[in-house]
Amino acid sequence: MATPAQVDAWIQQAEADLRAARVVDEGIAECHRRYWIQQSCEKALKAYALMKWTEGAAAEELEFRRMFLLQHSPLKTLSGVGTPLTKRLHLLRREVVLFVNGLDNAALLWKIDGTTPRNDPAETSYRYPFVHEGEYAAPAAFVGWDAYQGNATGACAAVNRLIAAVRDERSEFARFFR
Amino acid sequence: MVKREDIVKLVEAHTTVEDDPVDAVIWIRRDDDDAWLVEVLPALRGDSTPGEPVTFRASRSFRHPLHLIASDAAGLERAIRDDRALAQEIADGEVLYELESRLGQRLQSIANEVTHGHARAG
Repeated sequence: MATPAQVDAWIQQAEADLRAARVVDEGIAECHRRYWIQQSCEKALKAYALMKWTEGAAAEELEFRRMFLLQHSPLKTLSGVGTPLTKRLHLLRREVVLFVNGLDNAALLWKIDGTTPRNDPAETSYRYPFVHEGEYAAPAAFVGWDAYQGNATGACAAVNRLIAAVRDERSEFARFFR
Repeated sequence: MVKREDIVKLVEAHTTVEDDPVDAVIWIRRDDDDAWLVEVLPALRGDSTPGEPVTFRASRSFRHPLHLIASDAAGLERAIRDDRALAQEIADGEVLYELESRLGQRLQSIANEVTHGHARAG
């Protein structure tokens, strides 16, 4: 079972990533911003899931870590698993989906969660060079991020609201430890 | 005790997950301070512990612990037939949501059969 301190650490990191995403300074390219936006979203979702997760059998705990906590795009990953999840993780995914869908700009949050940087040059990536219009492009030189992850300002605002909602849940979660 | 309007709102939300539809929801243990729902989820086909609840803590949007007894219809039917106490609770429960297939009523009918030895009109 997660502790409030553990959840706080995930929330703090989500906030730090979002602050980094909002910095405008020399040397910071749009690809870096997009990575931090995704990371912030991901960590906020994991903080929420940690609060909802109740201890299960050893195999369930392992699956939760392997299939969710250690994954880059946790919601996308769970949606795309070919084999059936354990019931506990299946139901947790439903809880997280309902939480996200209840927020403003849920569609944008889904989009951000789903931006996974892959080594496949055919796929847009904020970390690895990829093929764009027939030529290799460095992510730092790419300008089509709005189509990939939504407008940056809107994406930051959506993740900020997500973090605020997770913080609200954290105050409810802390009641169990008083 | 859980207010009916709160549990109805929760169930409405539970029916909106597009890629993981729910076929029926029955509210059981309606006098309990925690919420207990039996949910028919076709995606949980092959579930080996259909009668085992999974619990989620209270949250800002729903301020009661939630115990979900979820499985596909066949799994829940098996659980009802294997567990007379669960059958009694389902028989005494309230169907809050179901599709035209009336799976909620069907499960209650099976629960009545297990509890009373015969089907009772719903």
